[in-house]
Amino acid sequence: MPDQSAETPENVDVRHVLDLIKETVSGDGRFEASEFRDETRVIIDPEDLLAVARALKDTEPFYFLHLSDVTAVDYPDRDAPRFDVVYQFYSFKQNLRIRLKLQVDEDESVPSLTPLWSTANWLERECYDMFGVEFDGHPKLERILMPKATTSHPLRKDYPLSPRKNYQQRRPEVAQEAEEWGEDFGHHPR
Amino acid sequence: MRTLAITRAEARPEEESDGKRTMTLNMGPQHPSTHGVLRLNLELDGEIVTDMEPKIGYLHRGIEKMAENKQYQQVFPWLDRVDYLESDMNNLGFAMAVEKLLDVEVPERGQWIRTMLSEVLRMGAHFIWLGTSVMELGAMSVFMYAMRDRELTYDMMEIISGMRINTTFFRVGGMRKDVPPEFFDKVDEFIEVMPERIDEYEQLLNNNPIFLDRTKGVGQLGAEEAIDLGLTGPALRACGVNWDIRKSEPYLKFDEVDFRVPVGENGDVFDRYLCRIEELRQSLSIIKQCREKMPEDGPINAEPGKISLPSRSKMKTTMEGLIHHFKLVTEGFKVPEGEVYSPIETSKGEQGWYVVSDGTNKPHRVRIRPPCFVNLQSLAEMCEGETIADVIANIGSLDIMMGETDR
Repeated sequence: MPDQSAETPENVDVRHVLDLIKETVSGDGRFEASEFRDETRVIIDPEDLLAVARALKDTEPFYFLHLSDVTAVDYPDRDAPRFDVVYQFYSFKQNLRIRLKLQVDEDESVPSLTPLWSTANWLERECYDMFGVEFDGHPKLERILMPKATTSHPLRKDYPLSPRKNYQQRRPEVAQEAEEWGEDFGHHPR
Repeated sequence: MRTLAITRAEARPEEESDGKRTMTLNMGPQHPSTHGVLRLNLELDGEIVTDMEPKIGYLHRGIEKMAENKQYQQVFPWLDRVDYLESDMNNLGFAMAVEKLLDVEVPERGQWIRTMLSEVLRMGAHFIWLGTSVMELGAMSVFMYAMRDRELTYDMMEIISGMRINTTFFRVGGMRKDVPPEFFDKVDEFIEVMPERIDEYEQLLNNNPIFLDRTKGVGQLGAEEAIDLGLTGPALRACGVNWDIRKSEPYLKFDEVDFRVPVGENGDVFDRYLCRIEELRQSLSIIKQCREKMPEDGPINAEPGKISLPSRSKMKTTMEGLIHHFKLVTEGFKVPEGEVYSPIETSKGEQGWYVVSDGTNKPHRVRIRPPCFVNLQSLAEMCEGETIADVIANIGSLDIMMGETDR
């Protein structure tokens, strides 16, 4: 059991974690580490995610046992793949945080971390619900916050904030869906 | 469309392979003991829960989406509605994340006021938890006492902000205004009466045989299991994991005050209760220390004119002040490009703020890591194999807040 008060055997800092991740990623895999406001983030390939996460969780003396967050960020206009999928890890033992990032496109999928952390289950479901990022190997990849009948993903940047007059032209599929629900989208004067 | 009953038992006996019959019971979303709009799909074998699935999303308002479309200062009123029982705690988390992006530091007095208020809010939220969760177990009088004490914390917020619940007091770089002297009279009164009242709660409950029967050994979780499920806050500490963000990654002035982190042993409902009650005492001690250590006078806002509004008199008498005021109100301020994750310890657990800025005056992405959402996931683990009455005890002990779960 992790105990915060336990004496740490050596002075571990984030550089050692970066070395570990670098060793774990496959030969020509992506590894881009950067630091901003004392926080470290690493961009890796989606194929390396499971191996890196397992290494972070199980390797002595780091033990990043706490997966605190899984989310995504949408960048519709950039040249790189559209979504950043972001993982926040925390180590009780070393009191360290590290952030992993993957870059994926709409039609790509990400390996699920549910086999390693049960907490990833709902977090990944929410990410799928809000962004449409698919997680391979997830036991039950369903919507969690939005109604089941929804077909779009609201936190994507091209999802409109509120119904407008020209809604019908901009997002016909969403307007269609709203009509099916019996909502009077698009008729509010603004 | 099916109509919603308050609690609708749907007798649907299913013949299982071994001849056992289970029944699906739909509990909520309009059930008084689900703390809002939580729906549980229970699979029952007699009175024993064999499987359950929480259904959420009834209170989803798209706060993260709306935050992306507002200027940094305009986001705050929305964030009050995330965890509406300790509304300013959410504002604090977001303000601290943006301050980290901007790389500014709030002045000494501002930090002390923030520390003090965050503990006042924590106590208010804990009183609600205490009142409601214990009332569901049958202790009606404790509910009345807890509401009485919660009212004291709301009175304090009312003095400083004019509102009781959705106070919107904190801002990026500090807070709306300095706290008035009457506030400290109220704090002194609070510090004086509370220790006795917390003892009173313990006298009412700790040796109450009904309460002990309903809580001891119920909803037990081991430490490893709890970490695997991502539990944070008092629910995690009750399982024996000594982890509090106020201690491990101290923010504000938590490294200058002296307090203890209560840790449980068994990880059951009773230990969660004990942890929270002890947290009430520790919070009270922090408030007391803040009262002593707070500088009498001094600035509360960082970089007035650039991030926070200039003072009213400056705005009325100087050209510069007027320009700054106008610029800040109409177009806000720009935040350098980057991303931060800034966690704070709320009364429910780790509330993480992942804010991505693209260099403009609106955030590109605001992600709230909700402790309730993650904690609720463990409910199924806790309730399996227990009776339907224990489900109620477990929901209460997890301190679920649906506004934060669904956002």
